Amino acid sequence: MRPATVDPSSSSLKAKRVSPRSRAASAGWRRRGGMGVRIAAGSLGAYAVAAMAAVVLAKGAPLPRAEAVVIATMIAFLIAPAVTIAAFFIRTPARVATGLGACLFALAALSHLLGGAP
Amino acid sequence: MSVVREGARQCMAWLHGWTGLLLGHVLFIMSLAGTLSLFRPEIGRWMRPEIQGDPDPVRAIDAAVAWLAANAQPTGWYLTAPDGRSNSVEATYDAGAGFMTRALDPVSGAPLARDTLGGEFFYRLHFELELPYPWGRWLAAIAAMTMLVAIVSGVIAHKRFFKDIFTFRPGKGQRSWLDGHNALGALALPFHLMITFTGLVTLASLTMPWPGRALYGDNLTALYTDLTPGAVTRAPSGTAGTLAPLTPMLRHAQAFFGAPIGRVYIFNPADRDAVVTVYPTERQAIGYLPAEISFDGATGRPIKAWKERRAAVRAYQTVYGLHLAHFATPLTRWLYALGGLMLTGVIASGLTLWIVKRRERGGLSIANQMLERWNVGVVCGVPIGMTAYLLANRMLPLGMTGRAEAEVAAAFWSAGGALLVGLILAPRRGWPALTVALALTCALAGMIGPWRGDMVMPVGNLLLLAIAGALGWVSLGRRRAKTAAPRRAMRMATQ
Repeated sequence: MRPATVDPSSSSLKAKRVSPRSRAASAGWRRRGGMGVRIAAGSLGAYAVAAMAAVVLAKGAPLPRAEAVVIATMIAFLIAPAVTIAAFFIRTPARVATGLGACLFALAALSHLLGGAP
Repeated sequence: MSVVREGARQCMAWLHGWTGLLLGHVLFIMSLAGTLSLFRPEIGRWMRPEIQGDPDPVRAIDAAVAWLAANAQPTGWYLTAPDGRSNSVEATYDAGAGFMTRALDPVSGAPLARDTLGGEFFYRLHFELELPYPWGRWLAAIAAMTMLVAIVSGVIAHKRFFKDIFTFRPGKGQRSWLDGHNALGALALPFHLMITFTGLVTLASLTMPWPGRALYGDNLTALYTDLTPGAVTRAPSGTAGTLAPLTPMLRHAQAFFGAPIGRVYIFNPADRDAVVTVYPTERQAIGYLPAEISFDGATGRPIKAWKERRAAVRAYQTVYGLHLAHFATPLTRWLYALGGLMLTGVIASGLTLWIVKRRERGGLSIANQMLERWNVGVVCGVPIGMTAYLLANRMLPLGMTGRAEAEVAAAFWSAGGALLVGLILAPRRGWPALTVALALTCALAGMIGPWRGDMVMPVGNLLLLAIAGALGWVSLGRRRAKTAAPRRAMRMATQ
C-alpha cells in the first residue's frame, strides 16, 4: 500500500483497515464519495463530453453539413467510453472532477467560438 | 507485473464487474436475440413452411400489389421483396384497422394463414426489448454503452491478456469460470468491440442527436433530406388515378442498381400523383441503403434516381451495415453467429463468475443469493421463451385471430414461468431442472415440424435437436459427475 500518495478510492478498495473505527468509517465515506464522483463523471459526464465534442467536431469539420453530422455522431461513441475509462483510471477523484470540468469548459468555449447554438 | 498501475487496475476490475452486472441480464437477452437475428429470413422460412422455393422478386411484388389494391387502404404500401434468403413479401399496410406488417404469399399475394412475426420477433427484441418506443431503444443503447465500457475495462484489468487466451483449467470452480470467461472474451475481442460500437451507431439518431441539432436546429426534416437526397415526397393530388404496371418499373430499377430489388414503397397508390420508390437488396454490399429510384405511379416514368457516393455517409452506412450483416455470405454469417454466441457466453459466464467469486470468498449475502437465482432464471428462461415461441408457431391453430401475438405471448409466459422456477428453486436444483426443460422444448420444437421442403426445414429441426442433445448431455454429465465423485465435490466445496 502507498497510503500517502494514493487516494483510498483508487487503490485500496479491498484493503483491510486496521485504523480506529471512526477513522475507518470516515475513510469509508470518503472512498464512497470518491466512487460517486467517478461514477457520475463516467456516466453523465462521459455523455456530456461526448455530445459536446461531437457538436464541436460537427461545427468545425470542413465537410457539408449532413456529412459533418454523421461523422461527428459516430465519433461521439468512441469518445464516451474513453471518458468513462479515464474517470476510473485517473489517480484521484478530485483530478477526475477537475479534468471533466476543464474538458466541458473548453468544449463549450470552442462550440461558442465556432458559432451557432451551444 | 502489468504495465497498468495496481490502483488503476483494481479500479478497472471494479468498473468491469459493476458495468457487467448492471445490465448484464438485458445484455444477455440482446446478445442471444441478436445472434438469432442473423438468421431472421431463415427463421421466417422455417416458421412459414407453407411457402417453399425461391420466388422471383419482381413477380412476388406484382402479386402483392394486386392483392393490396383489392384489400388494403390506398394510403401507402411498404413492401420488402423476397431476396433468396426470405421467400415471402414482407408488407406493411393498412387494411382498415391501422398499419400492420404481414408476410404475403409470393404467388397469391395474400397474407398467410400461419400468421407469425417469424425472425422479426428476435430482431425487434434485440434492440427494442419489447418495450414501447423510445424506452426499449434507450435501454438497449445504455446497455450497449455499459458493455463497451465493460469490455475495455476488462481488457485493462486483465494481467496476462494473451497468455489467458490459451488457458483453460476445467473443474476448478472460480478458476475455470474465469478461464472460460477470459478465453471467450479475448478470442473474439475484435468482434465484441465491433458489434458493440456499430450497435451503438445504429441507435445514434435517437441517443446522440446533438451534432444534428447544432447544425440544423429544430429542422430535422432538412437533415433527413440532406442524408437521403434521392427521396421524393409528393402530396396526393386528390384526383383518382390507377397505378401503371409495376414490372417495367422494377426491371428498370434492377438495371439501374445492377442488383436485385429490395424494398418497394408505394405512396398514395390510388392517386394520380402516386410515387413508387425502389431500393436495391442489401445483400450486395456492406453499405446500407446505397441507392434509390422513384417512379411516377400513373405513368411509370422515373422521377429521380440516386446513388450514394459521399464518403462520410458511405462510412456511416458501412458501420451500420457491419452490424446488420446483411452483406454476409453463409460462412461470414456463421462466423458472426459464433462471435455472437461467444459474447452471450461471456455475459452468462461473467454473471456466474460474480456469484462464484463471492461464494468462494466466504458466503453470499442475501442480495447475491437472490442474484444467483435470478441468473438461473434469466440464463435458462430467455432461451426457453425463445424456443417456446418456435413451438407455439407449430402448435397454434392456423388462421386463429391474433395468432402472431399469441406466439409472442407464449414466449413471454414461458420465459416468465422459467424465471419464477429459477427464483423459487435452489440454484443447484434450478440449473438442471431448467436445462432439462430447455432441452425438452428444443427437442419438441425440432420434432413436430415438417421436414420436407427447402433446406431450412430439416436444418432448423436438426439444429434444435442438436441443441436439445447437447443440453441433455451436459445435464446428464453433471449428474453423473456429482454421483460418481462426491468426494472431489466435497474437497472443492471445502477449499
